[in-house]
Amino acid sequence: MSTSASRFKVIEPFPVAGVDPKHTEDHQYWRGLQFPITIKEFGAVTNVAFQPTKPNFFAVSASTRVILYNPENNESVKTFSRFHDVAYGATFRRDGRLLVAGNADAKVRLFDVDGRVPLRIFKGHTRPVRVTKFCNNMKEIFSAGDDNSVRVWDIPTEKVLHKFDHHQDYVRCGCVSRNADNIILTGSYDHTVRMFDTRSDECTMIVNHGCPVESVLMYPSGSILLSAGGNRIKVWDVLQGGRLLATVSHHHKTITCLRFNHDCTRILSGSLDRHVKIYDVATYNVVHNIDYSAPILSLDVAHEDKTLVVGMADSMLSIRHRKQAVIKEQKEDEVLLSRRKRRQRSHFMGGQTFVPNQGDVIIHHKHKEQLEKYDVYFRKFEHGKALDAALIPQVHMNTPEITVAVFEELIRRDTIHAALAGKGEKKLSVLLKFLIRNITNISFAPVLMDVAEMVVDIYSQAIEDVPVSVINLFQRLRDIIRREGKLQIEMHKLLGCMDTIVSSNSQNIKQSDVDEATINASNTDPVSLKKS
Amino acid sequence: MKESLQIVQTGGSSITKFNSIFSHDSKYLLCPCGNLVKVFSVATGECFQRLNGHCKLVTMICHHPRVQLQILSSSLDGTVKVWDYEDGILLSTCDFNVPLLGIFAHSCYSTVAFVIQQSDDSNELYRFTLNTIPSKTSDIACSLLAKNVVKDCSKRIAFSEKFAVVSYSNRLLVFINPQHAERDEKIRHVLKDNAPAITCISCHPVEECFATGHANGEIRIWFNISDVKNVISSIQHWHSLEVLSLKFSSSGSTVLSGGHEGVLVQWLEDSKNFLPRLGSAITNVAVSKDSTLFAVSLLDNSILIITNYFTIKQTFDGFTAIGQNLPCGICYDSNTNACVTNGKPGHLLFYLPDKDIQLYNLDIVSRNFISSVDLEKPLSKTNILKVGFGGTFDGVKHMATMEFDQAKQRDEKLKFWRFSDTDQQWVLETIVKSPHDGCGITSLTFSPANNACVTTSQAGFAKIWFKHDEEGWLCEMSLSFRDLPCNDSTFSEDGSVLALAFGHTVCFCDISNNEEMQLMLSHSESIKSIFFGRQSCQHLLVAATSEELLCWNVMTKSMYWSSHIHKINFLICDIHSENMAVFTNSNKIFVFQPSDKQPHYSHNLSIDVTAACFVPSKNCHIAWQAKSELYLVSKEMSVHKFCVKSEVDDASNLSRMIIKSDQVTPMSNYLSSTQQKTAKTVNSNRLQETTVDVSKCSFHSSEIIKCGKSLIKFV
Repeated sequence: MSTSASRFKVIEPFPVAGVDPKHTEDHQYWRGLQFPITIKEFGAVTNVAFQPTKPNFFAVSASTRVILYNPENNESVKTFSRFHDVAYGATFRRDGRLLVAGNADAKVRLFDVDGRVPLRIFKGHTRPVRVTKFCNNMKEIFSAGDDNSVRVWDIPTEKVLHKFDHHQDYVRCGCVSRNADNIILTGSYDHTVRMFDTRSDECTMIVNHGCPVESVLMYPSGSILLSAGGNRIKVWDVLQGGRLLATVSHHHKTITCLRFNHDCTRILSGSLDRHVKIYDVATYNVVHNIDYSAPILSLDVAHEDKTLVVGMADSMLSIRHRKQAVIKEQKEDEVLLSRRKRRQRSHFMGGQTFVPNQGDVIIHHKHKEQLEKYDVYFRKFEHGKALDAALIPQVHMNTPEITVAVFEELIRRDTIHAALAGKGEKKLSVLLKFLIRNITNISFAPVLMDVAEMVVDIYSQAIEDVPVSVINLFQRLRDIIRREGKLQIEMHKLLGCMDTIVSSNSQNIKQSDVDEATINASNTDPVSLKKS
Repeated sequence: MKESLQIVQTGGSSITKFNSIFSHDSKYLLCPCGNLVKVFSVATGECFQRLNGHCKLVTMICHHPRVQLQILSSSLDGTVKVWDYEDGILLSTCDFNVPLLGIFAHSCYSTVAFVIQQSDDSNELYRFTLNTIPSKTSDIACSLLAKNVVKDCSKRIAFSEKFAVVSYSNRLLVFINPQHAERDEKIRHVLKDNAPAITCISCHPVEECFATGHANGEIRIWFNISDVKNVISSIQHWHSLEVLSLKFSSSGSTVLSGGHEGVLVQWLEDSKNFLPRLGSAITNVAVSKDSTLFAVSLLDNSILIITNYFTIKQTFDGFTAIGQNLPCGICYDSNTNACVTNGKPGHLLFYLPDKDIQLYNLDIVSRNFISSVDLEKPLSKTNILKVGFGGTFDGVKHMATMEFDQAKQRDEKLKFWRFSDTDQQWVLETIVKSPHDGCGITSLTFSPANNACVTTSQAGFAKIWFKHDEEGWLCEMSLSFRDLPCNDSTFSEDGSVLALAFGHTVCFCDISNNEEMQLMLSHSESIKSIFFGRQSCQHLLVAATSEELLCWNVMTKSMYWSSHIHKINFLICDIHSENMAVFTNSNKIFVFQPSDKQPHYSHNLSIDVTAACFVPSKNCHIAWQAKSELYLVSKEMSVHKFCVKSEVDDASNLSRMIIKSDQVTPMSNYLSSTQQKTAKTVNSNRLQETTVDVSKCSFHSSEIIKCGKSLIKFV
């Protein structure tokens, strides 16, 4: 008989301090990007740009070449190598047929996407050219670089149409307004973003970003522009003459690149701190974060956010493709479901059409509750096995909170000693590695410290039998705990300092009876008060 | 002239402390419960009848040997009473003048019954004749059978057709033909020295054999018992801990046993059936006469009716409060109109005190019941220390619970729950792990004005939790004052001011405007609990130290009055009227209003009160209980209330009131209403049929009359 009086209450994950990362639609959406494909380039990848039209190749500027990749198979389609020095800022024209790139030899080269030899070479800059973009009318390009000048070129004649010498320092970024033919926007290391109007040859607007500007971006409507430099992004209202709308600072190192997603509802920023952050344009809150292995120099998003390409300082190029649409996933689910249903149906076909008679006793088929392995062992009071089941990699790597909950349940049942004792080298090292990895986690520490103590207690008695590898792990655990202890002491010292500052602060306020505004000010900045 | 009030028990008490029995037709389960015998209906799960007459604890009940619908009950008040349990009538009383610990009768011995009398140094088993029960003590013909019976006698003595067994810890006394004074024969079996102590015993209904349960979990079946030298015993061992109860089925083919593991074991000839996870230790097993139903009494004060194919048919819950005290006190929940307190281990009990009915046990801790490996070292349990209910905002009502394993000093969790209207159940919203670092939480209070909750701890922190739509409940403020322990917190009725008792100081703060604490009222002694007055006393704050009751006017920041009361135990506040009540350790109660120093009412209670609660009610005869009644819970977990003398009889006849009143529980209420509806329609149909029948044929008249009777009853 397999009945029981009440349901077995399964182990619940150990509650982790802090708010769970919210599972918003954005998370799901950006999680859809698959595991990255990385390609090694010859130098730091300074720029990535997608072809706006089919076949949606993307141009990668790295070292002395510009390479076209096909996102379908992640293979290079073509290499433009007619550069005499480092190539910068290769971008496509709106129709996707021409490509322009700057060069460290101060020349700007224009290529046909199908060709190999530059169609035009624009000479005039005196220092490396970092920014090259096509203007909206498709007949002109603008370029800017280390000679502080911004030039607008006529493609057919290779002549300079306009030259703006307003910037005081290197110009490192620029863009054109999508809805106006004559607006050019550039950001420079002189901390300013300037807007030029080719009709007047004048700088029509200046905003001061406060740090060297690494990237600028303009909304398609042309009314709001974003500038990135230092570790912050600033949002400016163009229509109000450059009023600062918002400052967003979520990176802790210089932001190097900014991009819109395909429909301009999200902004992506890449930074030297190895993160790509995605912001909602309505609130400028971070909605998602993607980690990379190296400082990020450039990024771009393909049409419909199908592909995210990120160029990094260690000359790696990372390509992430979106899983082929969610619809397919659903289909898979349906297939699975129907398969399961079919299986069930084949099992219980007999009862489908049966109508019971009045006097019949109906016994409902009970579906067996699916329990996790460790729960099954807990139900059978096999505590050692339950612990082993919680220490398999799937559980303890992906859900350490489950493993900690199992530890806690063992403590509750007073069987932790028995469960921990008598482990072989393999299991013991897994256990110790788990402790080493998680013992400094604030939420788990109270439980894991107890467990670690018990492990040491149990195995210290027979330490000569313990293999060397395990002893090394014990030593590592000791070191980690020691380090954590030191850290805690430091933290307490810091807390003590802060307490004295705050309390002296509040006393000062009481004495001087200042008005509330200053109280708030001093409360927020206790350090400054101490200095004074 | 004030009416003198009396305190009357309305419910509570353990239903599993003593053995319960099935009625012969298996329709009812009878169990001793405090001074009452409760008759539960197995089909509906409701208390069908209360046999009220004993003035002390009823210790045991058994069937009358001859009359099917009668039972005998023994009580500590020294009487044996004979009852008709279906009609609830006391038939006769037999007074022994000695506290009785048990009564036994067997259908084979029609004229005699056996009682255990408690005397100063030993308990003695006596036989007496049932034939004519005289009213005078001296007339009872008693004859002594056995001396020095073990105290927990009901499980240690068993009667069969031909013999009776009295077990001591390591010996057995078998009486052959115990009903005859002349022919009885005593046989003594002594267990070997190293044999485990006997804990329970059961006789085979037909054969000359019996089974004993032992302290180490063994079960021994004894055969050939009339032969002293060649008695045969076979040992079965599954239980790892003491066997607490043992019963042969009525045919004798199987044995049921239960113990601390909470697993019911059915021993067949060569196999065993198990029913695991009953939730608590099994203290007693009863088998119905047809062997189709088993009644399993659990230590957590509930009885499960289990069918012979091991499904649970019905549950009867007593006032399932754990241990000797209620750590979370009693709260009133306006949603269900119930009192909320600790129930089964890790559960919250929702209890209707006016009807003595349990609504449900809500699982808060969600842990499996695990029996300890060693009975000497019981496993510590995570208890619910505090519970609080919030007001209804945006149509959502909240509850917060605080749980803590005090023995191990771990597993401190604050849980916030939301009542889901669609599912009609509490849904867990937020778990906060060790909110106060295990430093003894002292109070948990919800703001009446918004979704905010305050928890205070001995470590001196008051934490204020706010509900956020996405993140759930978050601590937004943590207040402390000179590292003094924070003993209590209270909100003013409009929720604008929060008062916190830090040591001997009361601080006020306005949590909605996030202002600093201000206006401190100080006293020389540490303040234990504080309450804001209600309604017309909103400006008054009542505080209790261990020796003094204080009342401050918050508007003028001055002491309004103070009064010296010796050893204050606890203070409670009625949220629906201005009344407050203070209880002392010497069991005095003072009911007062903050605006008046003189108490309305004071009384010396005869019971040890551990918790009390005001419950709103309408029909009350006592002036100060016009809006709400005061219910008290004693240390023995019995529920009491105050009654006017004239009302006492009424209250004691509660049983009848209950049967008549249809409102029982929301669920059964709902069910019974639907059942009634369908039943009524069925009845009306039947009425038509019967009338047709009458017109058609006359010889079914008797049946029709019966039908009509039942109809009348129903309508």
